[in-house]
Amino acid sequence: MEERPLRAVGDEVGTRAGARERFALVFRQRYRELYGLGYRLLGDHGEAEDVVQETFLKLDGHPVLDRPDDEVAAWLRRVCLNTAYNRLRGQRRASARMDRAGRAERAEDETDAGASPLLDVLRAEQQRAVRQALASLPEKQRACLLLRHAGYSYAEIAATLDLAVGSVGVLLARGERAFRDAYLDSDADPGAHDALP
Amino acid sequence: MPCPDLGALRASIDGGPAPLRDHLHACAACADTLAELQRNAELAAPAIALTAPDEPPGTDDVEAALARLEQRRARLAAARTAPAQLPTPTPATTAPGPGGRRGRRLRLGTRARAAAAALAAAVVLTGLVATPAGRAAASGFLAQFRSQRFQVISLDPGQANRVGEVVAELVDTGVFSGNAFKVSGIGEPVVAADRAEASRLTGFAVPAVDPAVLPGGVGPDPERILVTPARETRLTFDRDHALDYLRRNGRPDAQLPERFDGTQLVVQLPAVVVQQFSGRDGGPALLVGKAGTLGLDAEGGAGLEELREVVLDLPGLPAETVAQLRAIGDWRSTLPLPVPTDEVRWRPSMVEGAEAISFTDQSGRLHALLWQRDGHIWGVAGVVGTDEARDVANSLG
Repeated sequence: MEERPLRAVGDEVGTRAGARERFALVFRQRYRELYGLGYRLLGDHGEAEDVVQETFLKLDGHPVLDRPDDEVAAWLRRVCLNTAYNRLRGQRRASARMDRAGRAERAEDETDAGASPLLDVLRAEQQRAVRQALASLPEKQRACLLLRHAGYSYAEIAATLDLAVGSVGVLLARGERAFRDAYLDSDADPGAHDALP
Repeated sequence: MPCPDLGALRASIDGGPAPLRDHLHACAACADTLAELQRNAELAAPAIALTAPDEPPGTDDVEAALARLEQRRARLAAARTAPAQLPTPTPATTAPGPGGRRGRRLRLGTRARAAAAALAAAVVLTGLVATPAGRAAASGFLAQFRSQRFQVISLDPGQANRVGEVVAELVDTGVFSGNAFKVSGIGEPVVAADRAEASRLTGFAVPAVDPAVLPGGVGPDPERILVTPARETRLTFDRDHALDYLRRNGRPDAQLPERFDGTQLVVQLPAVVVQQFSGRDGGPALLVGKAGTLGLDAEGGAGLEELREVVLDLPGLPAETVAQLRAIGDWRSTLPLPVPTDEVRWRPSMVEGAEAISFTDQSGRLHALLWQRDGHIWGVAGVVGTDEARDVANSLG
């Protein structure tokens, strides 16, 4: 076995420990926002949690972890969105059978909610309509809308989606227009769009 | 000033480059566009806000998620260094054999074979996915399979082999593992002294067979009464191993929810009693059996329907077999019955008003009837004619 100077071994151990600490710090800093992004796209707490876990597993040992915080954050958002999109594509490939199952499940949920306020049922239906409308958008437009309406700046959106900052406005404008058309065409009660906050 | 582009107009709503006011006063087209963009943004903002989680994760949630992630990292690291822990290939498995992957089954030890057998039962039981009708029916049921009727699943030798290979590989690679198989002698029947003892061991009444309906040459009393007690086996699903398996088998984009990890598939195998009647030569001529119902449930993060979907989508399972399983309407109460097409012929039949399946072997000498009634599975089989088997079956009440 090759002999190495004691200091080099100590440095390596120190580096590994530092990387673990850095990883845990980034996780604590970024978990909530990534979870929020995953949930906005997938609409399911378990799925959102899975997406965040997958995202951080990809970060594990990745050289981007040594980059400045804003670059790590943009990388994480990008991977999180891609992971969520992959999951959505997988769900689509799982076909109409899953759609039917989902509708049955929602119907059961709504039946179960018999004692819940009507508002909850309406809100659930609106969420479904919003996600359905978002799902009809191209992925970059969809991500741009979600990021902007989750409060990210144009610079952050550009870094996440690997765009020029000047392109964000165009993407946003086109995305919101497409969203409006899809949302107003959805099968939700049109009047309900104005009824809830 | 030239007209700003669409992006600049949109950015102006969010406080972007602002010196547009003068232009907008002078350019009705841009003013109209901006008004439309404003309306679109005002529609999108509250709608998209609805997709946010009701409550952001708290500090405890974040720490719990980090702990789960660390566990996964440790498991993945262990899995990467684990090949040495797998069963050592025997010479039989290293020798190139017909069919290549078939040799893997030979690597399975006793426990693994028991796990594979239970998993095969589970694969068949789960028969696999939630049809809309099944889900609707399930809304009023426990999330649990209970066999009430049969559905024959025809398997030719190639299909049977492929199902066996997939099941063996799932156990071999740790996708499903079953610690419950430490129990020795599992599945081995015991001899009961009489019907009373058999009833005590099984928990249900063991019927007497009316000698008047027994075929000629068959002794009036059972030569032996064999009892296999009811038992429950648990198979634990390992998500990371499953993903490895799927990705190795042509599913590079495979995804499985984290919550699936550690889910236990609970297979409830019923007590079985078989009364064995001898013929003139002293050998077994007629078997009369009764069993409780098979049950299947899932405990953990994955539901039974979800595990069923995972199993049905496994690469390698014969498409025709999967199609037959998917075609079962009420999978929660229908027991798929795999029938080897090269060995057995079957046709639907009736026993005392209950749907039954009649089997005949290729020689035409062996006949059997299988049916379910009153929460039990019943069977009559032997070197008897079809009508003789039916007479015995109808006499069992």
